[in-house]
Amino acid sequence: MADRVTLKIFDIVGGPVWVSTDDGQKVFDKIVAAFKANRAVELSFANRENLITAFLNAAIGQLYGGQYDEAFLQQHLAFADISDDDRAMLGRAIENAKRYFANQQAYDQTWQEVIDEDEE
Amino acid sequence: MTGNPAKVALGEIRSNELGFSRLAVLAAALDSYLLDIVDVDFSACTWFDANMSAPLGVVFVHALDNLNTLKPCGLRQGVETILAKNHFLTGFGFPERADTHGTTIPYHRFSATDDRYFAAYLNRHLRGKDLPIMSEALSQRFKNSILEIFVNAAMHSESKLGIFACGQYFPQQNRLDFCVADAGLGVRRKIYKELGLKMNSDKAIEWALQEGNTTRKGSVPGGLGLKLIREFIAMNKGRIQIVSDRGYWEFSPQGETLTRMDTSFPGTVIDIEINTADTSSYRLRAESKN
Repeated sequence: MADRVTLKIFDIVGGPVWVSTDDGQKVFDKIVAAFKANRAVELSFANRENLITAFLNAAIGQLYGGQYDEAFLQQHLAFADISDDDRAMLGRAIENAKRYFANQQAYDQTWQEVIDEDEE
Repeated sequence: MTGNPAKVALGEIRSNELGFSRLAVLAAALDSYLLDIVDVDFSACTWFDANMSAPLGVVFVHALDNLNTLKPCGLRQGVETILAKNHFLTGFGFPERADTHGTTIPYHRFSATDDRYFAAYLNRHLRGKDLPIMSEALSQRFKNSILEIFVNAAMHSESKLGIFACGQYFPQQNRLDFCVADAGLGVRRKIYKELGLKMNSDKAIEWALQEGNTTRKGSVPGGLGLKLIREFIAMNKGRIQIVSDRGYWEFSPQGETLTRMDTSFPGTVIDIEINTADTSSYRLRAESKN
C-alpha cells in the first residue's frame, strides 16, 4: 500500500469557497502529483463554506477519464472531514463522470442539427 | 439617431414569458440607438418583479455599451420603490431606499471571474434576518443552485459585459425568486461555436438540459448542475425558467413549457423560484436508477 498524504482543499484553493472549475483543477493537479509520487491521497473537506458540482467535476470527476481505473482510485483516494450531504454530492459527481466518459461520443452524436427558416 | 427625442417604453414586468418578451422587445428598440440620450418610459409599467432587474440590467448594459445615456422616467411610486430598494436605480441618479422588511437581495453586476465575490454576496444576503423561515437544508440547496448557475454563466456565456443578479422574497406567498442573467452569446450560438451544431433557440435550451450535454471541451465532465437544480425545484414545487436568445423554457408543478419568443433576448437568463415554507428534507439522493 502506498504511503498516504493528506491534501486539504482549503489550503489548495486558499479559502472556503469551492465553486469554480479553475479551483477544482488546482485540486485535481495536486491529487495527480501525489499519485505520480506513488502516494495515496486523503482529501480533506474541512472548513468548506460553499461546494458545488462544477468544482467537483474538475477536482474529482476528471480522475475518471481513463487515466486511472476504478480499483486504483478506490485504493488510492479517500475523503475525510466531509458531511453526509457533500458526500452524496460527490457520489453524484463521480457517477456522472463515469457515465459521461463512457458515453461522451454518444452524447454528441444523438443530437442532429435542428434548425428551421425562422432562425438562421 | 437624430430628430425626435429618443424614447422607448416598458410595460408591466413579471417573471413570466410575457415579462421576458417585453424585455427582449425593449432590447431590440434600444439596439437602434448609438451615442444617444434615450428616455426609458416606465409610465405603463404598473408592476415590476424585483428579480427581473437582472435581465433588465442586461438590456440596459448593451445600450450603455453603445455609448448611449439611459434616463428611466415616468416611474410610478411603487415601481420606483422596488427598483430603488434593490439598488437598480442607483446608477441612474435615483436615491437609494432602505429595505426595511429585509426582503431584497440587491441587484449586482459581476464579472465572470467574480465567483468568490458572488459566493460572498450570496452567503451574506441569504443568511440571518432576511430569510428567517427557510430551513438550513433548503437554504443550502438554494444557494448551491444559484452558485451552479453563476459558475455556468461565467464558464460558458463569454459575457464581456458582466453577469447580473438580483433576488426578491415575497413573504405573503412564501416565495423567493432569484435571477442570474448574462449578456453573453446565448446557448444557441455557444453550441454552434463550440460544437458546430445549428439549433433553434428553444432546441438549444432543450439540448443544454439533457444530462451529459455540455459545450465544455477537454477532460472535465459536465451536465450535472442543471440536473440537480431541476430535481431540487421539482421536490420543492418551485419554478425554473431559462431564457436564451429567442428560447423560453419553464418547469413548474403546472408542467413544462418550451417555446420560442418573437424577439431575441440579448443573453441568457435563469430565474428560479422556491417555496420557502417547504420543510422537506433536502438531502441529496444517491444516483437515481433511471
